[in-house]
Amino acid sequence: MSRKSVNWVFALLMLPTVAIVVGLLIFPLFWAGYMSLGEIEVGTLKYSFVGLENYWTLLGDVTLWTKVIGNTFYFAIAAMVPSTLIGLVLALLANEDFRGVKIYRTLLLIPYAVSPVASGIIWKWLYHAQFGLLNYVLKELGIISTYKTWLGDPSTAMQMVIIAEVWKSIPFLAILLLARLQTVPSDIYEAAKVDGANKVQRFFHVTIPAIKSTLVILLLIEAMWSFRSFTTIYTLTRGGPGNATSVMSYYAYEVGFHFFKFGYASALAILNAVLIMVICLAYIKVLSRE
Amino acid sequence: MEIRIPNRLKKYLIYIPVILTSLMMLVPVIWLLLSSIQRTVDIMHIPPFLFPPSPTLKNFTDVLVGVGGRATFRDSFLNSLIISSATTVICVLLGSTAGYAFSRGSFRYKNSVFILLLITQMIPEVAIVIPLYYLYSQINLLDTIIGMVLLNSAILLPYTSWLMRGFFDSLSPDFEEAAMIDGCSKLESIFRIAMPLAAPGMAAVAIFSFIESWNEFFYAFILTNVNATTVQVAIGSYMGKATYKVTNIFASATLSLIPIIIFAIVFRNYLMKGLTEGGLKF
Repeated sequence: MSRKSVNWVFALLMLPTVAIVVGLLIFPLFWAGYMSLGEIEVGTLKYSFVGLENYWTLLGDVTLWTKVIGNTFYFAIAAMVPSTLIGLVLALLANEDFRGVKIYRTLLLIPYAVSPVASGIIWKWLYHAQFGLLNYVLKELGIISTYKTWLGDPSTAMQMVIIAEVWKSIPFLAILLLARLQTVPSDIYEAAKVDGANKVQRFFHVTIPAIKSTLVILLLIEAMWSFRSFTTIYTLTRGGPGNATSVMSYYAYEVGFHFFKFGYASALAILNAVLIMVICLAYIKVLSRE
Repeated sequence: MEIRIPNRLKKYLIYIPVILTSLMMLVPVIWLLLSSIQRTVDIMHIPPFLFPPSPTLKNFTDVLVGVGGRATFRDSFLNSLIISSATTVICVLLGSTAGYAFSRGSFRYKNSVFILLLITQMIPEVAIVIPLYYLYSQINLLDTIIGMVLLNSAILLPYTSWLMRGFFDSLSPDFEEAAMIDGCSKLESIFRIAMPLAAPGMAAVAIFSFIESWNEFFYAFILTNVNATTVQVAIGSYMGKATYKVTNIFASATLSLIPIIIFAIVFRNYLMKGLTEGGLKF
């Protein structure tokens, strides 16, 4: 078979995938760009081109710049860091050899099965002002004196949402990191032991290098996910109280589906997408420099 | 000050973080399960009951029998089963072929395609949901099972292709070459040699795709109405009602959760095996 025809086979193998992805994801993205350059009249659904007007509005949108963007960064970073660290801890524990480790690994899998919606419901109930478990436990332990409205208080709402998001994200990370850890052959640890390395040294010189590349990629994936996270906030707070937990993805949704300004919503969403791309590009650039 | 812990006890130290973390991850889930078998009066009791005083299955029967939400819960559950299964099949098939092409092939636009797939992971859902709504309404895919299957597949294919690519990367091309020397065509070597060897990876992809598409909310929320609602939307719709019955919410959430948990536990070995056996070449 000639070189060219083999390459054809490969291209063909990839074709259905590319077709679906381009048709349902990339094409609508460009369409959203087009929509962001216009506005859609509510009643008639007629599109009128307005050029960059939506983007001018965007620049002057006080809520966006004072609350939403800050929330987006805060939420994303505050969610990424703990979930990665805790996920790593869980993976390291699950990689050890002790009685019941197989059960432990299975237990870790269970929260992975919990959907974002179900997770939101669980946490919303745990945070409930009157009947929630959190209030009860904290009061019994003497940590708080009265029941708090965790999700209704602007000063605590965001943190509580982040906790829920972290809990939801941990299993996936833990599983991937565990899988990576398991590929490290025990001989390497043995060899290090023989060479006189203690536990701490083995960790830093064997374990960390082994998972470094995985961690790096996972952080990238996480960043892409956290900066556009929507469902947890939707289920828990609907962006409230008063935009305290509104992030870019939710804000765009609100503008579009509550205020019916689809053009402006598209502009906001495009901004969100661009933000993620910039962050990822910066991340990759920093990486490739090392 | 040095705390002397006898060596033989040291190995039990690990149980402390193990138990703590297990609790941390499981208590929320267990709390949901416990709450879903309680009567409303018991749920709304201060202090909350740790053990349901009068456990009942009525919540489940309410949800399974009643006409709640946008469509009955039963229909939504069935829809989710169909959608997730179909998505899984597509992701395994197309993800494997695409992954193979990425791994073995070197054709002109390979890198561009890879970047394209990467970009899809940066797209916020809200950005494309409106154009998708328009698009689907034009081609009659709105509120259809096929529409949701295609969309879920589109979302999951980049990641599954990438997983399979990693898998094929770790699979030595010698097998296919040997087969071709023995007279196989290129296509034959792909489908009769390489693919079967990639079965563990496909298993991992299958489990991943099923769970992810089962848990998908936003697109189903906007793009379905009566015919193709998924179980996640059904749960969400219980929350949106003015007459807010907590028991319905918990029961529906539990019902949607149990099959997936069982699924994940039963197939956990395939999942781990598929991920570890070269599925993570990074």
